[in-house]
Amino acid sequence: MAEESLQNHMEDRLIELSGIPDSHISEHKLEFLLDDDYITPEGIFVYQSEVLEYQEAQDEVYNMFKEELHKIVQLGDFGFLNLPPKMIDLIVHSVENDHMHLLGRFDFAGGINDLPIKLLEFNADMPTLLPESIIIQEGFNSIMDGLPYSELVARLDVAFNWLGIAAAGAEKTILGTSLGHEEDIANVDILLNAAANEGFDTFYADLPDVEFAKNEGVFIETEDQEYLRFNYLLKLVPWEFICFEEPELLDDLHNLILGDLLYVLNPAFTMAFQSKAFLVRLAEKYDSNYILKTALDPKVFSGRPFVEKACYGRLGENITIYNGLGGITEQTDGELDLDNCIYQEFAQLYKDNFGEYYQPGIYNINGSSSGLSFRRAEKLIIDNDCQFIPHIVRD
Amino acid sequence: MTEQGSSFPIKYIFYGIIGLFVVYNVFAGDDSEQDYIEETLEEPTQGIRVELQETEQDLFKITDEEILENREDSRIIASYLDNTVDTFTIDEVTLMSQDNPRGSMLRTVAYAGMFGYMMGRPMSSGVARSAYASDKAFNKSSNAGTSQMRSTARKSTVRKPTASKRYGGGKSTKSYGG
Repeated sequence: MAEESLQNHMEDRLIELSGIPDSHISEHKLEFLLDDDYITPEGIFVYQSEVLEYQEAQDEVYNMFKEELHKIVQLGDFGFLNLPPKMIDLIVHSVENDHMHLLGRFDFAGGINDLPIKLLEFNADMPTLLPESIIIQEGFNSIMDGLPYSELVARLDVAFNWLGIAAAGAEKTILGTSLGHEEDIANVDILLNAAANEGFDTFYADLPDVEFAKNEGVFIETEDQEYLRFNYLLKLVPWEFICFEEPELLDDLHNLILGDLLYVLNPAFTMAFQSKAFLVRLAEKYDSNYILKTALDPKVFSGRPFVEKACYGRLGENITIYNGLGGITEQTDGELDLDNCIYQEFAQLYKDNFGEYYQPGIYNINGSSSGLSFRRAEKLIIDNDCQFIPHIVRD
Repeated sequence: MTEQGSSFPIKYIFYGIIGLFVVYNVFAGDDSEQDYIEETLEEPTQGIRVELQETEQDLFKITDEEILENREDSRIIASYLDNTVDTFTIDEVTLMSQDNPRGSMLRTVAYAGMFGYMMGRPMSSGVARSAYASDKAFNKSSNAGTSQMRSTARKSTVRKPTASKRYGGGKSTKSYGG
């Protein structure tokens, strides 16, 4: 009883730390993560049993995602995703050719002190937070008395090793790209380092510096006016950006991928996973404790709190939490398309005695549960205005 | 009748050929676009020690070139009319000011010899006779020298796109992660 009582107070899970690993962060050129108190001298501990439950949740939910995706491809049932035909072609191609889903992260609610684990969303198409979850967490390991649940580095190495074997003699040349935000570049760097560890020739360039040549490939022009061609493209540019903001790029990728001139990570089918409409499909067809009731019509939540999300939303933008009584509990701004929204049952995040909420994320690398991370905010919607909280696991 | 009868097959063969031509162009019309330019690049792994002699004011000739084990050991040894001698590394000669006529001439001559391979000149282009002080020095570099350099060069194939496009310019640089 005493133990149970203690666990109901968040102070018992909070670990006050002597400081933050500034020098470790600087050594890895991640000083920008020190802005806005994003990193604080506080950690959290979770029990081994809770980690196992997170792993079971991710395994069950990921299997549902894959099973439903295959059914959708078999039936050609893509209408609910509202995607252009060429994107559908790419999704089918990536499923039929079993392209590797390198990295995803499930954002859950609950999981601590018996709060039920509920899937909020699946960041299937290249999530960020890798520098925090690997490098910052590593820096905290010497400060915190314990080890985290993190197999990220080892799992990434295994994934790229597998990809290298599957290359079957083709040149292992991989180009990492993003739109140039330093946080995104830092995430891509971690993935490229893992690729380099497994014998890939790696290169990074911002998207505007990448040359897409139809029927030929993806190239970079070096300072010596030489052109380097790449067989793999590791993009931290979302598929929805490509579909809706750069349709000509979608045309080129359609040509290159279907012509086996380019292998893209993450593959096109992750855009289906990324769609919140996929959650509606899972809620309708699967009986799982981890899946929240989700619908296209908010009336089904009559009298109960629920959340409105854009189908292709990111970063906590354009989210509204309704209290079920006709009022709004919390809302965020954004520039997303609100013509295509879903409505999801409200789920409890873990809240500490200081009124802060914790959102656990479970990484999935090449299909396997690979690590845990926590973000914390003073509000219910965890967006960019949050903190990264390191963790350790106790028996 | 006989003539008319035999004209049908000929006509259909003709139509068939046209049809095949059309079909070929519909489905194979993009083939010409698949011809990217492919080049084999050779990057020297060995170095060169080149000796230059100033034969007239600001006019240099190569008197000898020796192959060295390491590229970074490459040097230009320049002997001037006043009997002074200068030594330059690859970086130094590359950065030599264009405004300096003597330096410019010295670099031009070195570039025309095997040392030019160190400065990025394609190894397939060979060396220029006019850069050398003698047939003996030219033949040494042109034959055995270049052959040895190419045999130890690092080779890579470069494909240059015939036509390409770029995307994402002018877009927000906010993070697109999640």
